[in-house]
Amino acid sequence: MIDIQTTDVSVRYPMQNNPSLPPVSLEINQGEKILLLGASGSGKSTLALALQGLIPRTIDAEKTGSVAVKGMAPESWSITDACQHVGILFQDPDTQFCMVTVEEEIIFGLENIGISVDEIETRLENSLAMTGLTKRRHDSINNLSGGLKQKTAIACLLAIDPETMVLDEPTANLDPQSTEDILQLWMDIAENKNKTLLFIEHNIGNLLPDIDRVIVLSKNGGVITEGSPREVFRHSFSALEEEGVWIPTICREALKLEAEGKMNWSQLPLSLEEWETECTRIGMEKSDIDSTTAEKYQIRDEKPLMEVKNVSFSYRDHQALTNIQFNLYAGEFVALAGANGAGKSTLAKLLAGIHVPTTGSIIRNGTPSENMRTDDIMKQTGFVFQNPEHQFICDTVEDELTYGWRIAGVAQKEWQKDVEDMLAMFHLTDKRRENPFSLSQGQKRRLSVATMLTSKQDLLILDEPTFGQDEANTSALMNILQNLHRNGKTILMITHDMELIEQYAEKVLLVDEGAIKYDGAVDTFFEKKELLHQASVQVPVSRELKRWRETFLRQEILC
Amino acid sequence: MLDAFQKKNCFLQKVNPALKLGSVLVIIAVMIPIFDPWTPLLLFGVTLAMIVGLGGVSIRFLSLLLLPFLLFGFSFIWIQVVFPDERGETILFTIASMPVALENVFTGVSLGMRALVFASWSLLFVLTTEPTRFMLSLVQQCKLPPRFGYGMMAAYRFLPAFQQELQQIRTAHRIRGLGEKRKLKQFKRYFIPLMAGAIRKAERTAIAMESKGFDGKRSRTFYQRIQWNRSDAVFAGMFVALLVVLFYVRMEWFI
Repeated sequence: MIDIQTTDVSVRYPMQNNPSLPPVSLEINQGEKILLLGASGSGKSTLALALQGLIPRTIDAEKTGSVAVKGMAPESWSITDACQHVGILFQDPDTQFCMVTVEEEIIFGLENIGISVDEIETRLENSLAMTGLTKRRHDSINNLSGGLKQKTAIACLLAIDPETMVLDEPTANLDPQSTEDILQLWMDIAENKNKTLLFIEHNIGNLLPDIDRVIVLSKNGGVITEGSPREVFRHSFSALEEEGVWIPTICREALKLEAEGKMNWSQLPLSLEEWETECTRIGMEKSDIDSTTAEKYQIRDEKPLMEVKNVSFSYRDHQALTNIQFNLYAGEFVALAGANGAGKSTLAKLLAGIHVPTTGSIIRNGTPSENMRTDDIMKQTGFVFQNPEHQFICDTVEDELTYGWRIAGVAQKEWQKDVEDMLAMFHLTDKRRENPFSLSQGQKRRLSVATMLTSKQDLLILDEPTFGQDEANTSALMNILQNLHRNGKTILMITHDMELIEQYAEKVLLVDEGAIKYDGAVDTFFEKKELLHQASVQVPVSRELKRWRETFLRQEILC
Repeated sequence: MLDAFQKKNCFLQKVNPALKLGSVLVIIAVMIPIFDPWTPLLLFGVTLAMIVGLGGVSIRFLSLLLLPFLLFGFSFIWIQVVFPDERGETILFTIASMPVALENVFTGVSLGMRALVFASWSLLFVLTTEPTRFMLSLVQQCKLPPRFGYGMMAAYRFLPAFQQELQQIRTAHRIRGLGEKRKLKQFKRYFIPLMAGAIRKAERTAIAMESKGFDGKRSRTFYQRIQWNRSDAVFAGMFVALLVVLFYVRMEWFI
């Protein structure tokens, strides 16, 4: 039975020349689990709003073409009907709620649809039980971690029980373990209730085999390709790559091996499990010898740039960090990892001089911080905040970049050339006269990093710089960071993305429950299975694949 | 801290928020024509006793909250003594050749005490009322349209987020070398990102609320009904008794 059908539906926001959703026609059946992909600008989120009827009912935008859900037009529904047909889970967990506690928020939705008090009671208990929030029902939402907030939002949606659910990047800012828990929760729900699920998400991880169909939207309108995940990633690989659409690492690697003639997959693996089954079937085993250890991380014996000695820090009501001790050396690329709420951001702020340790000391270039003025400490460290907008203080991109030189009183002819290089490096040359606030998400992020480079800081700290960035923007940013690192800049980056750590970082600091649990090379880090599990961190797929690659290479030599 | 007291299982917490709000307004109206310093002093004492005894608020916490109001109240006395409309005749003592008259001190105390009474009743309301119950009572008893009631709740949730964001913007600017100067231009720099963030957040929340079926109409069920109960009757009785006693005492002794 057809659940959703769109015919050339297109949405254009007022004051914009190009449509945010270029015309697209698609069909989705009842009970299907769909993964919707597309580069940024292909209008995935806008499509979700149109399916619910929020466009054009509430959001002022021009819609052409037609949408039919269960044969009805969403804009013809009343608000209370619409939410029972199509439910949306939004990306930002902080702006989805209007009540104080978890229970009140779930009840709010149920009161809206006007069901009886008894019915509210039953549905409330059920949705709390399904999401494992029963013990947390009276907690204030503000005090919950990102993962629990997202679970609360899911509980609200489950309580209303819409027939179709659209999930708009619901795990974008969660640690790997919470991400997997939440995605698994959705798969179970879909299994038990025969709901239509539409995932707008790229980080679908191990659950890709559970997806019925992948639909890829094009930036220029229409669907590039659709079909089972296996078909789509096998047959449209180059088309997807060209468009800048996310391709699962496992498929990418599998196809690469095939292209090199080392393996002939009877079915393209979608998860590590499938990969391993297939290889075992043809009698291959994962190599034990790890060639990667060859490029071992070297402990530097120079004087450290920063020595953190026995540092503890408490907020007014709780201890955030206890007895932190480590050294940072000039020229390192360090990743700061750990679960949501482990104390990563707090540690970063201590290093930047924003917070002052409650006890212990941080020694910078041989001078203890106690003997330095806060403003001087801040001048030594560049800090890129999660929200780039917070850092903008000028009216044009160019002014923003030159601000550091101008207040330091450097003559214009000295930095004129540097500005040009900087604009080119960060792909902002044609935006130089624009207001920083009018840039796109990726451009804002790049500019906020660029502004931190014009003064001579020793250390650059980035707080989850890739959050909310698509594939293309992430790799553009990471390439820039890698270039800076090669030129000798010390970089410390907070991230949840283990793939990034594997690809770019030299050293990992793992924070768990307010203490440093690991300080050392990336390679040995991913070997410590128990430690990783405790800190809700997972080994990136690409790392496992590297080993398999070894096997394939060795086999070739043997032949 | 605040919400711990608001959720306490004490007498004042059980009283209907609409009734409490009404009594605060009545107190303000009643105090307007009273000019002697003793009546507000008595009322102030009774109010504090009520907050501590019937609301379960710790004396320490209450005194901390009252401290700024005490300073504010004292400023009335100071103004009356230093800049009186008409200097009184009963000179008590002189400070650096400035005479301090009993009449002026009295007017100052009565004005200052009045401010303290208003402050203490507002605290009585704020410290013993859960925001959610207050909003529900406004919607259910005072016929406030749900559109505004739930909108208020959403705005209330934004307050801590707003404060956090301002803090972040200030540190971000400090790191860029702007320092901590408080100038008008600085204000503009804080204001734009703060507003940009607030508008975006408000828009997202509004969309999220509507996607959960909120249409702002009265045709919704209420899971939690704020009903009139015995506590309300007792509170109303006590309140009337308080006013009568106050009136009587004033007639007998202070006039």
